[in-house]
Amino acid sequence: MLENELIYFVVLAATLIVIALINSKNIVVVAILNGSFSLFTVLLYLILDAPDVAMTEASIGVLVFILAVFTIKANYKESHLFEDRFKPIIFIACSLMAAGLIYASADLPEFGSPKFNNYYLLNSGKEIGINSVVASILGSYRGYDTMLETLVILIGGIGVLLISQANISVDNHSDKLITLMSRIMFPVISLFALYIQFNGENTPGGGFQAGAIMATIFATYGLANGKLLFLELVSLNALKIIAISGVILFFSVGLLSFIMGGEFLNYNVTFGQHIGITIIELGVGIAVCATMLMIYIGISDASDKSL
Amino acid sequence: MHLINLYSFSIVLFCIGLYITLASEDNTKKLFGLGLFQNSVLWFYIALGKVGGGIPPVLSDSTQQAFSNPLPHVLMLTAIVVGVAIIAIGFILVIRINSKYKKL
Repeated sequence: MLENELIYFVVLAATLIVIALINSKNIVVVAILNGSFSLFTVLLYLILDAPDVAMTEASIGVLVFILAVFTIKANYKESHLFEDRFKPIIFIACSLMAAGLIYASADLPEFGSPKFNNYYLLNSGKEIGINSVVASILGSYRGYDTMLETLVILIGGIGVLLISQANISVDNHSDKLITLMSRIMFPVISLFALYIQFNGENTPGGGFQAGAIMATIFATYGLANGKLLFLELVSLNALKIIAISGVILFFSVGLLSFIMGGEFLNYNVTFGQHIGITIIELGVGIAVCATMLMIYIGISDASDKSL
Repeated sequence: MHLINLYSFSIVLFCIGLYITLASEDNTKKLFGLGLFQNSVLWFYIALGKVGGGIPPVLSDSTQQAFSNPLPHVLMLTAIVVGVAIIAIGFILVIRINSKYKKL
């Protein structure tokens, strides 16, 4: 089957990258290898029928690389300091763990077996009424999960800002070609993010993906131009308020259905499932995008200051 | 039952990520190891959800085909975004530690 050969090709490439990553002493090389590992991970997710996850991983991979560039810039050193004498022990422990887990994995269901509880696939079409099963589980069946995950990343973003003590610094270092490219890419990719956001019910996509893509293109623009596009319009405090308002939008949809006599996050008593999911996806998108930008500002500012 | 499959690859990746996290000297590289560690868990769950010959779980008019399991996709979707928040906290801590103590 072609699928299996593709999987083995991707896994082989990823394994080679990881072996190179273990031995690499240069941290810039490690960051680049990590980015290419992320690329092959995206391919693997696509082959394994998870386009939603692949889309998220693609944009998150870019974002992590940008953050890594700032971290490395702040503390770049050519050589490492000491040799760890516990390395052989750690290696043996990890090998034993791998052997044990692989031995235990014989009990797992065979790869590609069609036996699972397919309640969602059978019923989401008539209960929720949207085509993307992933979006209906994310927004409705497991709405609590998604709501609190949004809160978790908001806390993460606030944590980064608190640790970095950022206030926005604007410096102008720019290369003409890269600036031009980022300006050409910006409208196209932000339009794509909006499409992913508002068409997420019928195609793969949704709030998480759209927020991550939007934040990535803003951060890429900031990396190329030395400052963020919107900083003349929006201050850092306003960005915090936008991020919190995304989470509050999600909570208030839940609370509204609570007030109107249903369970928390039961859209049937308020807007109906389709509109309810659209609204909470919008809240997720706003919260994710603003939080990722907060993280970007925090790390880039701390990196600039520490030089 | 042969053991060369995607599950064992993700387990090996899991242990490699753990090894890099524990054994490398550079704090930034430790964080990349943590990222691999996390990615391996995602690989494992997505591989569990795959159905042979299946298509992505987006309903359409032709209902005759087999879909892959959407539940692991949802769980991993949120895990990725939370993971980047964790890595970002790690990065900012590394920057602050190094700017305070001037060492790796």
